[in-house]
Amino acid sequence: MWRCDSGFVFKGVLETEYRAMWGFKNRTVFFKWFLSYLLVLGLAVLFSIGIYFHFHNIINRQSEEITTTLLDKMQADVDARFRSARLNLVNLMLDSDVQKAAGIKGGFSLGDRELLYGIYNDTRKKYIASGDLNHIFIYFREGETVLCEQGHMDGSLFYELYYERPGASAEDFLETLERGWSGEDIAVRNKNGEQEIWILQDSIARGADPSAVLGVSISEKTLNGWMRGILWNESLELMMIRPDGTCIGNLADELRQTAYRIPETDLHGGKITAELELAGEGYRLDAVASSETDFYYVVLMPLKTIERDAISVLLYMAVGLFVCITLAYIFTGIHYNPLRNIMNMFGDYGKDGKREKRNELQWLLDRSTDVLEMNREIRSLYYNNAQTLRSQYLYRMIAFPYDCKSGYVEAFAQDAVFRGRDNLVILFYLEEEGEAWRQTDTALHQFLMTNVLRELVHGAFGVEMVELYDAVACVINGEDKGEETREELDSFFDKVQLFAEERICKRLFAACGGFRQGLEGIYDSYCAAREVSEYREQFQNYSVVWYEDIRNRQVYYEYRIEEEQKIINAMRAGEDQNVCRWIDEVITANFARKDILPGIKKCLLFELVGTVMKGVEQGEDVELSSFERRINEGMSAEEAMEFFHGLIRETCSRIRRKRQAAKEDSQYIREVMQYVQENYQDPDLNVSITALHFEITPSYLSSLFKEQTGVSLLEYINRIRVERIKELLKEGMSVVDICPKAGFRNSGALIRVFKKETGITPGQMKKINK
Amino acid sequence: MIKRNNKIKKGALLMAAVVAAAGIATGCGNKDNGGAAPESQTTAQADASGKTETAAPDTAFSYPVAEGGTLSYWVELNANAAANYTSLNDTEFGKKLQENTGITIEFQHPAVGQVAEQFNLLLSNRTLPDIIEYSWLTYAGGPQKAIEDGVVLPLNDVIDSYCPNLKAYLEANPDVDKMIKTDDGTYYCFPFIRGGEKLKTSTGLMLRGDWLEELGMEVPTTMDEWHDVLTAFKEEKGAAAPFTYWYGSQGLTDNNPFAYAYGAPRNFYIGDDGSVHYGAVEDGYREYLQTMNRWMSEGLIDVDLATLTNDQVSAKITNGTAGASFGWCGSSLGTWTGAGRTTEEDFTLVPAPYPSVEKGTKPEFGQKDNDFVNMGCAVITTSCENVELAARLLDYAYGEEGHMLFNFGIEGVSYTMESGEPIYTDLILKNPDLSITHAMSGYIRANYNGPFVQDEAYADQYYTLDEQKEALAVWSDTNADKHIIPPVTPTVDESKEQAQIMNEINTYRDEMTLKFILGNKSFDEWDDYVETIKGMSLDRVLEIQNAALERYQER
Repeated sequence: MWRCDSGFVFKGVLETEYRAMWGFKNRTVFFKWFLSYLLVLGLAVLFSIGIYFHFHNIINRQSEEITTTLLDKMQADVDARFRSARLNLVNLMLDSDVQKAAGIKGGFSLGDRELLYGIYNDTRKKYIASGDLNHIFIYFREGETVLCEQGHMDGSLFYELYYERPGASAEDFLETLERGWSGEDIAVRNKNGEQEIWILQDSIARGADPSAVLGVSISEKTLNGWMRGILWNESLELMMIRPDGTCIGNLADELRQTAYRIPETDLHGGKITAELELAGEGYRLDAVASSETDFYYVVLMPLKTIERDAISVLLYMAVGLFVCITLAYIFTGIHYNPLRNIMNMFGDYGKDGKREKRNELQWLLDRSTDVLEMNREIRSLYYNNAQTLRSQYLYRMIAFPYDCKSGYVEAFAQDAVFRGRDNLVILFYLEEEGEAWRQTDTALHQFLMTNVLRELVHGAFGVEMVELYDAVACVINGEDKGEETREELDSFFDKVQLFAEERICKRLFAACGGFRQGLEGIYDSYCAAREVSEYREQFQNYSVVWYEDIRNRQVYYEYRIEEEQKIINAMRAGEDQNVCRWIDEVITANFARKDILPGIKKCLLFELVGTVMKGVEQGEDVELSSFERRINEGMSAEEAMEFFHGLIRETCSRIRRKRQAAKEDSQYIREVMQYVQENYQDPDLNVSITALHFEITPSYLSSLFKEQTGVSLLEYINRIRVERIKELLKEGMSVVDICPKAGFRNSGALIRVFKKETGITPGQMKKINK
Repeated sequence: MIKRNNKIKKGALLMAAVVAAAGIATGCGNKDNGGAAPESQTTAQADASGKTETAAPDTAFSYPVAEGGTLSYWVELNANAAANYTSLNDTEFGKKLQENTGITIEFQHPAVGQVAEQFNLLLSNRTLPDIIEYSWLTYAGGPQKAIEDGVVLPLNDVIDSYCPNLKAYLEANPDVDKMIKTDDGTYYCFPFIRGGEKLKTSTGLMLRGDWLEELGMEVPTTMDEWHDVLTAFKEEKGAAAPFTYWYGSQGLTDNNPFAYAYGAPRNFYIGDDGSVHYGAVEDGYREYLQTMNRWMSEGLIDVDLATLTNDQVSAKITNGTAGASFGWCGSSLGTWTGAGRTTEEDFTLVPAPYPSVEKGTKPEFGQKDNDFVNMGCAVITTSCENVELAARLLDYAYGEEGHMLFNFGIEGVSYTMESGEPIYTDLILKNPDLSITHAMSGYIRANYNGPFVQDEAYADQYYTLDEQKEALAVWSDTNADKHIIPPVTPTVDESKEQAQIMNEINTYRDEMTLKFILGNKSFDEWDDYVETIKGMSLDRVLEIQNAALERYQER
């Protein structure tokens, strides 16, 4: 009966448990497990989508920046070239021969051909020098002839040779040139159907109406070349567009054939940005107006390049996601597989025959033992946690400044241990006899010593202890009665010391920080004790050292100002070996001394770094990003030397390089000066010609020259010329005769320059000479 | 790697030996001028060659070079080649040359039209390309100076050791041998050689044959006949500028046939007395100018003569504005005939001989080149690390295989052999897309220049028109051989002095010539003109030229 009853009862319990586990519970576990997988997957997908949109945004912004930079560069570059082309035109306009020829009425006579020959040669030189121009030409309206770098010919022949095209007759062609022009640019198609940009300018004639128009022509090929020079991304299209529909660029033919024209209204006023569709594809268009011509510089960026980049990001993302999930699946299979765990657990019930045969009593007993076991564990867990927290509080109390708002202060203020007025912090160090302190198996020893001390002191004072870094910090609370208390404590320490030496063959070193008032004094005392502990090495034979003992023993390093000056001088001279040697001497001398505190030694290193910085000239950077951290971490003498060697070698070599560069520049400048001295008689000599000769840009040459000599190149040229003028004036030559010898075309220019340089006119100078 | 090192060492050793030899040779050359015994020279050279013999002991050599190698090669890209190619590397010729020799060539081409400037720029660099092709006689101070400047490597030992083809050619042609060395016997280059008489004449007069026929006139041979013909062209045919030519082309104007008619080219020539003369100060030149001035005022010569370029001359000849001109056999006579016939069916240009003053005499003067022309002349520079390789590359052109490649290109592609004669294929002669010169430029170098011997068979085929073939015969029928100056080499100081003086003289001459022709200067001032030029130390230049000529003749 009982058996039956109990059997029924227990059976009922078990059945309930079984049902719960295999039925409802089972399903929720599976469901939760499935949900967690889904969550992980969903999060990853969400993240991916987020990142994709973020990148899309970034790519968009970047491409915007690229086009802006491109446009700016194109505007600066192409405009500069237009400017220089225009300059050729202006030069030609100001040429006296051209003015003379433009003034001749009724066509040229045979004798005028000589004049034309001169202009022709000049034009040819300009043409060759420019390198960019397709033609430089002058159209004389009187005789309807053209003089270009290819010679002098009838306007109709010029048309026939270079501009003949069905649909544009010679009359139309010449009619364009008959109109008045003042620096406008127009688009013209040449014989090959290529577009050219002409810049046209009426001449000024001497004593007559201007009857000539000057022009330069720049071919589409050249323009494309200019643009191509700027372009670094092949997927972009650059072009120049005018509101009248002229379009020049490296465009694909289909694009060109769409006969695209930007509505004029859009182009007015600086930059524009638009999206548009050309030849069935989307483009982003950015444009900016040229400051030299009527053109707009345009960058076309196919939208699909942007899309392509974004899609590639998406693709990577998808692949990454797939890899992540696969990896996650594999790893969870190995290390964490809730499904298998659950199966195992139930497997125990379902398959293990032993378990099934166990009787109910045993099961209950097991359960109760388990509960007891768990209780004990929890208790010790609480206890340990309490201990740890206490240590933590103590640690905060000791090692950080007092803060009355913190919770732990309250906790300790009520603690009996801290009832006394004064607090003292002592740092204990356990050291192997005669050997350096070691971490290994000292933990136990430390524990022992701590307990011994606690036992000894506990009667007279309140004691709290905590491990702090390499030492044990002990806070002693009580009334400071001066010498009496010190002696009392000393005797305690002696006992502990005795114990240590006899039992565990260790030496104890106690660094006492001195009594301070109140809880806030704890930190002060700790700092004092720390300072004392720095002297550990010097007090090898002491077991207790008080802060008062060492307060007056601070020693500074030795680094004389003459030594520093010597090092700085050597650095400026770039003699890195000497610098290293002297710095080594300073470091060795100071680091060898034991009476200097490590902290002070750090100060020495900082001062040495300062020396190095002084040795470097202003405006120079020294690579110091890591030094502060490295010095603070503490360095041995060898490490410090090595550190400085590296620093100095690098700095010195940079100084030397710079000096070398300066030397090379000055050699170059000497050549320039030489060139100027040899060629100053040439009236054409100027900064540009000189730069051309040396094959660098005029602006770079000017700045280099000024940097090296202090005067600008133009000033220098003038100075040389003026010196020559002075000499010649002394010889009694007239200003007119001097002109060609000193490189001036006319006396007006000579006098102007002379006056600017010397403050007086050549005439006055002549009088002075007399 | 180890192998390579050895090779460089060997090259360096050789170079040292060569430089030493050159040093001794030049030293002796100077002594020679001072009248020292020439014996020491031969012994010194024997010594030097004795040294190099050990350095280059190869007998069984064949192309392609076994180890290969890379050489840098600076050369102007001829305008005809530049029309379709950006580098000789891209041409079939360049590819084949590298394939056949097994040597990789890095061609460097100066910008077209700036050869002289870029050449000077090149020399200012410390490292030169291995090979430079240039008109080396124009080097300031001549080839001897280029050697002394440490630019050009003397080649005597190099030719002995590595250039069997060139050596054989020079032994067979002592005249050429004389031309391509300096006065003291130093070889310095791999020359461009006109391999036949027809190749030496390329320019001459030409005029509208159909007009002559129409007017019932003969091809003019004297100045008076020319006057009549031009007048008829002007009056009967309405030619606005009966005679025109590319005056700005130095090559043409130096050989102006009308000046030749009066026996006074504007430059130096060898007179009947065997010494060098400067034509522009002689009476013949005045007569030429007077004639030109007269013709100019009569409207027989293009008024725009001074400011013409080839484009306009071509246009004027082909559209009937002009009826006679002076130009090249190929690019003028041939090209214009072709262009003229597109608009006028019976358009013909016939060649006229170099005119003389008296009828029936053989013209004394005419355009003619030396065998060795001052262009396309390749040197090995002192920067070259593998002298043997460079020498092998350049010597290739003087061998049989190289000769065919340079002159005719690739067999089966650009030429075929028909009864033992190389004949250009239609790819060259009848290319639908390219003119003959442009088509040729892709396969050969015979249509311009370079370090090889030009083959006469090239000219026979290149000139496809009968008029052209006739032109070469007509134009070259002169006594010009007597008057052309061989490639003399003045000393460094002399050429410097000469260049300075002649620069000034030529500028003045050109300026005055134009003034005289245009009538801006009266011929009363002729004596002043002559005196001015003489005052610019013309005599000193003549002295230099004559001395150089003498030295040349004693080579």
